[in-house]
Amino acid sequence: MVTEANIEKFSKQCKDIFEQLGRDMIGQKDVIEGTVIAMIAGGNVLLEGVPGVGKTRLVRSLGRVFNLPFSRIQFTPDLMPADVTGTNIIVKDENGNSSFDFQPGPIFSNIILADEINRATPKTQSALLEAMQEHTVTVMGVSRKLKEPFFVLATQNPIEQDGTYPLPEAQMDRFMLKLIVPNPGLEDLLQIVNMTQVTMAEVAEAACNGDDLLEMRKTANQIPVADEVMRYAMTLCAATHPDGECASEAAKKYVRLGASPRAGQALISTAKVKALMAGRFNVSYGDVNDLAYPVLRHRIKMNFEAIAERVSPDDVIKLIIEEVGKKLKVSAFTKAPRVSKEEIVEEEAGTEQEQAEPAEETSEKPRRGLFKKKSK
Amino acid sequence: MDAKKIFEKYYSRLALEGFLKALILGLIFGFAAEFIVAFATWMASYNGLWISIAAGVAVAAGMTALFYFKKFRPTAKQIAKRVDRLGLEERLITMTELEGDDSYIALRQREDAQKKMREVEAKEIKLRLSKLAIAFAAVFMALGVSMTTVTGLAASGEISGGDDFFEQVFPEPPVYFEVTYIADEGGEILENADQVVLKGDDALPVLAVADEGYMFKGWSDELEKNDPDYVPDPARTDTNIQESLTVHAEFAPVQEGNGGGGGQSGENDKPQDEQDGDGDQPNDAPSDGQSGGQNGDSQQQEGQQGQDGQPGQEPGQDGDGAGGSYQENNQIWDGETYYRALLEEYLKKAQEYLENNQDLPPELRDIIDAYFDIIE
Repeated sequence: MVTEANIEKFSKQCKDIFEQLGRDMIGQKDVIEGTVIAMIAGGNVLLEGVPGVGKTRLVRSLGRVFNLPFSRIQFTPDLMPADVTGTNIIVKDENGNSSFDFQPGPIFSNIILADEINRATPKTQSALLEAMQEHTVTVMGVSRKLKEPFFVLATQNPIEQDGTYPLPEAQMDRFMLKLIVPNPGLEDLLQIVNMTQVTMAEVAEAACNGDDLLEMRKTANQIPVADEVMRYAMTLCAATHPDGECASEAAKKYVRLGASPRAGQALISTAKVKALMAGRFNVSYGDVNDLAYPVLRHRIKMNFEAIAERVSPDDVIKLIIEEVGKKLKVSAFTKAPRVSKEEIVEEEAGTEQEQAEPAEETSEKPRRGLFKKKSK
Repeated sequence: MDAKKIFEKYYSRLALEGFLKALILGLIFGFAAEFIVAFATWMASYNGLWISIAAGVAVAAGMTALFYFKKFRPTAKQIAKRVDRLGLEERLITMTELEGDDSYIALRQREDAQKKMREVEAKEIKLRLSKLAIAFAAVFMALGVSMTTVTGLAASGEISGGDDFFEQVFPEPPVYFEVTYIADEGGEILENADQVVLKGDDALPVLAVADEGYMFKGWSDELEKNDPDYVPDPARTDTNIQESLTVHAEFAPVQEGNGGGGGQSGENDKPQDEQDGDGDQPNDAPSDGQSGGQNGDSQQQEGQQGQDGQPGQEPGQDGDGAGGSYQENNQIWDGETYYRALLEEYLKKAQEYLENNQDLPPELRDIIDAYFDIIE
């Protein structure tokens, strides 16, 4: 049962989380927000970006901000599943009797950074499957429950493809969001360089803990979704299937494989968190549209025609949103949200504060269009 | 949920919009009905001015009410959707769906929605009317009013009625029939044997003239009726032609040496019939009753002639002719057929024309001329 205290706590903790993350991270607000949303919604995140844009730093900072144990696994071609999950080793007791003793791997942590996940072999990658979905690890026939909350934050480099193993669909589907980490803009770059000249150390402090995060998840789950919004979200997912009854023209033309039901679950879960973070107690079409890109982009498999025409998944998602929006007459709803005078005053006050303290960015009010489509 | 109560501020505006939409559709139907009634009364050459106006008004009123109460009367959900389009991010739709939910999150959602709703003035909702529907209404109005005007003017005699109008505009294509008179062996058709006659018109008069040694037996269509009272008339004028017509003029040879005593002829015919047996030969003619009458019943016919007081030769005097007994339409004189009665009839007509100082009709003149050519 959600109470006023839950709501206020959620609001305050969100504010603190973004504030603290802002101390370590310059720019990348979309990525930060997406990651936090996924963590509150209880999903794993795949961060894709070129080296040096702050992926690993973000994950480390999240561990600090959420005050959760953090493990980093550097995925390499010779990494074995047992290196991830742990293994039984033979130990001798004081009496000289041998017995198997399970030595947990790095996966037994709350936040896992699977760095360059696509460099490991499929066998090792698949060692994460059970952990990511069921939050359990089975070694030698014995299942062990992982500590909650549990997240896998994986990174991959989209450029260097030599010696990599693309993630299989089953693994991709287990990432709630795939976030594209762009190169920072000029202003952000200046701030990054200025900040790191002083110190490279992460300064973010804990804003909440694991229990708080679980409570935030429960609170966000209570956010109601209107039937029409729910239908719209599910129609978007269904429209990605080229052979389905709701197949969109874009999907028929460019998609080989559509999104799984997990996409629908992820879309609604994350939309609820996003709505509550925006101070709203209901999910809007705008929330669904914004989250459709990170939720769907790694779940749809493009066909040869799309690859030949250099059509990206984000392009297809955009077309699907437009098509479904027209079909369900949703386009008229997805206008810019109405901003009241009070909110304008608050925003102006926040801007002044930001100017005074550039290092301490706040994300009190998330903005629209956080998940813009990736440009071709 | 009582839309009027919750969305009181917007209800009247959206009700007005709903009424206008219903009215436009009602007018389309009303003017269509007016057009149909006016057209029907115009076609029926009936004064339908007030009937068509009354029908139009009644249908428009009925359809407007029907559309309003069944389709366009705003419901809570419709109002919520319309107001949400003003940037309220589906707050009001969710609020209407959460009606009756007393959970804290529902209360907060309602509170949030109502707070936002207060910022939206009713005048911000623009009335949305279909331009296509308005265009249709205009077209139907023009048609209805025009047709009503037409039927009114037709009723007052200013313009022609619908049936006359259509006959003028779309006249029926003329239909012609072929009327053919064929002379069988033993005679000829005098003039106009082959005619082309407009449907409903009369054919030109024709005259069947027997060759020497033959007598006119009758017209094939009349003979087929086997009417015992049939009196052959070699002059024929078919009237009101409704179909193509082919008529044969049938002739029978006159028995040589049988002139004079009809009774003798009758006695002679009897054994002849017995010899032929099949009755198909021209000599069988007496057996069909008509020619039999000519031969066998000559005395009786003579009596009739005497009673009728027909001018001309006495029956006994005709006995030395080419054959056959005396008949009004079959008198043989000096080896030529002589149609005295017919000539007298034509002469009588000609006299009437001349007495009235009128020119003889060409066909009458032709017949008289031809006749005298023959006897010359």
